[in-house]
Amino acid sequence: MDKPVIEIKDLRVEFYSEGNTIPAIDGVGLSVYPGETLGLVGESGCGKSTVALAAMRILPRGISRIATGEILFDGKDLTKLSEQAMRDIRGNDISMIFQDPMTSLNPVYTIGRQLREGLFLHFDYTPQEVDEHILNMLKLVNIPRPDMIMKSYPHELSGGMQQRVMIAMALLCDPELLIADEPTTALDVTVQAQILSLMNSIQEKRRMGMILITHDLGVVAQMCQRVCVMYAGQIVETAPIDTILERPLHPYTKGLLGSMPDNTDEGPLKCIEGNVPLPGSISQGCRFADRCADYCDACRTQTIELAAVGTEHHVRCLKYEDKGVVI
Amino acid sequence: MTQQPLLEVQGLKKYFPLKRGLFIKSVVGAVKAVDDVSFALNSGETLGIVGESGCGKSTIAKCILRLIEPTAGKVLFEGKDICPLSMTEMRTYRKYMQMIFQNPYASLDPQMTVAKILEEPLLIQHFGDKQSRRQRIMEIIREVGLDDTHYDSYPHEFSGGQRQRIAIARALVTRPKVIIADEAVSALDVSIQAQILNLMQQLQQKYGLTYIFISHSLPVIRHISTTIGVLYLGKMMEYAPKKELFAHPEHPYTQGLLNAVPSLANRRKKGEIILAQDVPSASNPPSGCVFHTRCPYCKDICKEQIPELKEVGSHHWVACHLW
Repeated sequence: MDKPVIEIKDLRVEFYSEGNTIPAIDGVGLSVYPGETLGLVGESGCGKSTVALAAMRILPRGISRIATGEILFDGKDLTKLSEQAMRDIRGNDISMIFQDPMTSLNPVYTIGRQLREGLFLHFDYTPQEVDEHILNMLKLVNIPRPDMIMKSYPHELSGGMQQRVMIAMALLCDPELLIADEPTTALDVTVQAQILSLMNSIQEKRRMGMILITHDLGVVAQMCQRVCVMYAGQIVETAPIDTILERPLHPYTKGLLGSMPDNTDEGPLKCIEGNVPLPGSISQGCRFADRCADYCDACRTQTIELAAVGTEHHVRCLKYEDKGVVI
Repeated sequence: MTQQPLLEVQGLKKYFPLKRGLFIKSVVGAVKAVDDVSFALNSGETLGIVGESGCGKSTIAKCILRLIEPTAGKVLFEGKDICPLSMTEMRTYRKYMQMIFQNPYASLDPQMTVAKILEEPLLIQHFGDKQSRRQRIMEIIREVGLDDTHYDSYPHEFSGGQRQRIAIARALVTRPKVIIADEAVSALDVSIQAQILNLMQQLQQKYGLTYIFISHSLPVIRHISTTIGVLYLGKMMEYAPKKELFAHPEHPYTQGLLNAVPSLANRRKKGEIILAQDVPSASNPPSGCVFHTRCPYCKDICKEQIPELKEVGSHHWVACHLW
């Protein structure tokens, strides 16, 4: 098997607020292989975007920090790199696509100028080479009349077009890893379908690794080979996509799948009662215990590790802990 | 069927004028946000209106409640046209028709307690004395899954799902017959969304409510509706009972929409996208059939003539020249 593009080990990110330390993510570990799409799913506040920000080292400064853990990329630990060294990697080896293309593009510069920036920063191209490179990339992401688009401003483009520009920008330096944080959430379904199939085909051509962050299990089913389900800052289950959809083990994963109004024409949805706990409010035991239909006293006190229950299938649940090998 | 529909919308149009000029404004055109939309709804049914952004879903909702005035058309509630009514007369009808909005963070006044939020509609409708109002509020709070301790709380003390429960309570407190839910679950997480959908279905069965459920999410619409209308650029493209629509989607747009939804069941159907391009601008819609620019089956007639809604099966209506 190939070497993973990125390997995150036991990552803990803390936020500071009014003298309190709140762990946004706690003990997150994952790896992405070349040509693979890893889905990171969970509800708002579960820490999925924080993982992405930590991997890019763009956590909000002054109020958060990486407390423990390693992010191994290309033989280097990204948590220990200097800001200068990180700059060479950011946008070059690891790129990111954000949720809202409207706010991620600068409204006062033309599309062309914004696309050139990354190339000038990372390569010694002549202006002609840069423009040629950009035009090819815009064609690759199916933008009609690319030379016109380069001269236009973000507000002149539709949401779908803007997101295509963002994808082109992320791919310009030929990254090894692409992190897409809710890339299609702000788009209409028909445009979403266009963008997802575009991302799929580009990834197949380039064999880069991709982390797809989303709350939409349907998108994950369409795009990913493996999935990590996150809840309250922890990974609660990770498995290949077929396993997650057909044989989910963690009660939260089951609840999430049951909550999807998909094909359930009749009858109530199998929803999860209660609300997502506030970050940092649960210090011991299973973080899902309050909402779980099937918990025991030990769930509230014992520290539960992510345990292997099958090939590539790991679950953080007391019910399965003794059945597998703790990793 | 001879039964009189509870709510009927006939030929509803809403054109927003396009103005030019800084001081002397002249009307240079119109955005046809809703163009000749008709439907009828029986008591206890749920009509799902689905479409992409800018298709006029929310405008229909606001026109029915006359939060904005329709340009033309009729809205019949229990057989009476409510469009010519004065605002005072309209108030009586709003008792029977209430709305739930998308964003529970914006639709609840942060300075009012839950009790005040829920009392306001009752005061406007002159509902009983203080004692009976309080009783009614307590009743409705429990009904939507909150408890008595929430009576004096402020909206900021609640999570998104709980706020949407308050919004539902506010809509229900006057005992309405019709509830218009405009993207009521779109801002919520999946697990909370499922709770709210279940709650709304329970309440519907208990009180025989009629829903108009507006959403961009086909799975949500499929789950809750009995009848579905598909909108595109202000026009009704297809209108059919739920099972019929999902079993035999006849309009190319509906087919494309169904294909585009990433679903858990039929995944990995790569490269099946029929719909290319974006939705055209509503201020300059295509001639003839508004969908012809994206339609894979476009013929010459589609570019010139506007297709009429035709009944192609029992209660199944399609606006397409292919039929």
